[in-house]
Amino acid sequence: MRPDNGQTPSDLGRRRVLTALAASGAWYAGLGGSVTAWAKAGADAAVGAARGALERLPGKWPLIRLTHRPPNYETPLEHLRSAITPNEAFFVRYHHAVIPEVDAAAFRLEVGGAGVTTPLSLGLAQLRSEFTTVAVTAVCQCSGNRRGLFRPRVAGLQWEHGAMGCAEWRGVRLADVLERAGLKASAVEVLFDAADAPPLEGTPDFIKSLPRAKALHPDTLLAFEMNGQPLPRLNGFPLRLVVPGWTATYWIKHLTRIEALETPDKGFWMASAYRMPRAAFPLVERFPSQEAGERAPVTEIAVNSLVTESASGGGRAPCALRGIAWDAGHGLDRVEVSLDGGRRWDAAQFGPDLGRYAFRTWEFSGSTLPPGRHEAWVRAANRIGQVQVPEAIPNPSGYQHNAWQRVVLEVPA
Amino acid sequence: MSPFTRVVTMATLTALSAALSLSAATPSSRPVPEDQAAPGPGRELFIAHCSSCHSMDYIRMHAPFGTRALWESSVAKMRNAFKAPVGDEDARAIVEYLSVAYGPESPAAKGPSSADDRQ
Repeated sequence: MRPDNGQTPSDLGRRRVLTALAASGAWYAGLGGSVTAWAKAGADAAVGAARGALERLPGKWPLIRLTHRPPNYETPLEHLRSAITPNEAFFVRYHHAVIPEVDAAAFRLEVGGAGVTTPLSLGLAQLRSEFTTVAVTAVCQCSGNRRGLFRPRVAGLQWEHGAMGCAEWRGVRLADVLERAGLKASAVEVLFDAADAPPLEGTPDFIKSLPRAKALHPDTLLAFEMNGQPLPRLNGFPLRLVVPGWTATYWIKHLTRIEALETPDKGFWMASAYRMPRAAFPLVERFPSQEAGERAPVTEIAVNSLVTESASGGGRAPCALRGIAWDAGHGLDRVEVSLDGGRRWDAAQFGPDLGRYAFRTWEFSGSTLPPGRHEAWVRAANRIGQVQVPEAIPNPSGYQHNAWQRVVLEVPA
Repeated sequence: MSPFTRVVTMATLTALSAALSLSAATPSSRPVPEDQAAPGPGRELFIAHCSSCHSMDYIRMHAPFGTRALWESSVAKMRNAFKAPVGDEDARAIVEYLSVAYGPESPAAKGPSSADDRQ
């Protein structure tokens, strides 16, 4: 606290309340207006102290500031209640502080590298007119979403629940562009570079690659629209890679260069960063050409769920929960809730299905609880048998947090 | 319609109106100010080396668990992976500064990180 900045105590107090609200997820309100608080596996009281206030960036609604340069802003929980996240509420995440302002008219996408026969240079209008336009609804989730909930704490951006969102992405298939460029059988990876730049000459430029199979997957897109609008600047205008089912580290924003590689990329962001102990995480879609011993790249999004509203009930009213669930596209099977510490699990009801890569809403109506403090435990499972874990799997960089949520329900006497 | 819809909506409106007045107090048209670095020996050296690439809120975010080991590994990462041009002597001084000014027992670890951190 710094009292010397010319603000009145009431201003400071209001900001502190806002910060606490945003950080603790206390947007939830119970029946009768009593605010229900979260109960998480770890002690979360300190998290609020480590995170910033709500702040409005150009083209955005107020988002939770983690850092402002480079900009890293989290979506408040209240905007994650629906299966589609509005563009104005979508999280913002940059590694480097130089955010490009791309002139759409002058924009070119260069496609080349040793793994193609016919290098291309494509403008936005060409992409729209010369290739089939397709759309996919998919979750874009930071690998480190919920890192701030790990105990013991892990260094890195202390995200809670909102480093993710779900949108309808419209663009062209990467496979179609690679086919036009004459992708050779010898190409093992496809590399993606963008208009952004590191702050120092020696700092590794943010460049990622995909394995050939994922690059050629028909759902992997070069997207120019998000929820029916041009991509917002802070979400990658004018063109970004969309890799449904895989974490957002691969979803390169402000994409300008695609290179087909005959040998694996050795850059920092592939060879060193975004890795986790392979044995600890059951992955279906792996990245074999980048695996090195026990350290494998993060790839798929782990099966997960989020409670976005809760009501404790009381009197004759039952308790109720609402939320969203998602996975890497294997298909959600169920969301379950336990009100008795994990002995009995009851299924929630799913809302509309917007596609295998999308958030799916769910709603749970439980029993009428007696007065006192109760916990609702929530977990999702998918059709290939993956289930959220009771406690997050420890890993050095704090990726793939998909522990059960434990929500406190206080029933008034 | 279940009863909690109404309650949640009211809570949301209250929170949103507060948020809107906050953003009105800090219009985005104003240049984004820098954070203040916590006081302490080595502060100027720290600002000179670190603030060219990132804002100070990265630092405060780690203060609640900002042990010397964490700051040593963070400074090493900035030098080795991100090629920050910081010599051995300056790196030691920066680690010393961070360990005190942004350690788990520091005021930075206790106070809220909000807009009032910034001048």
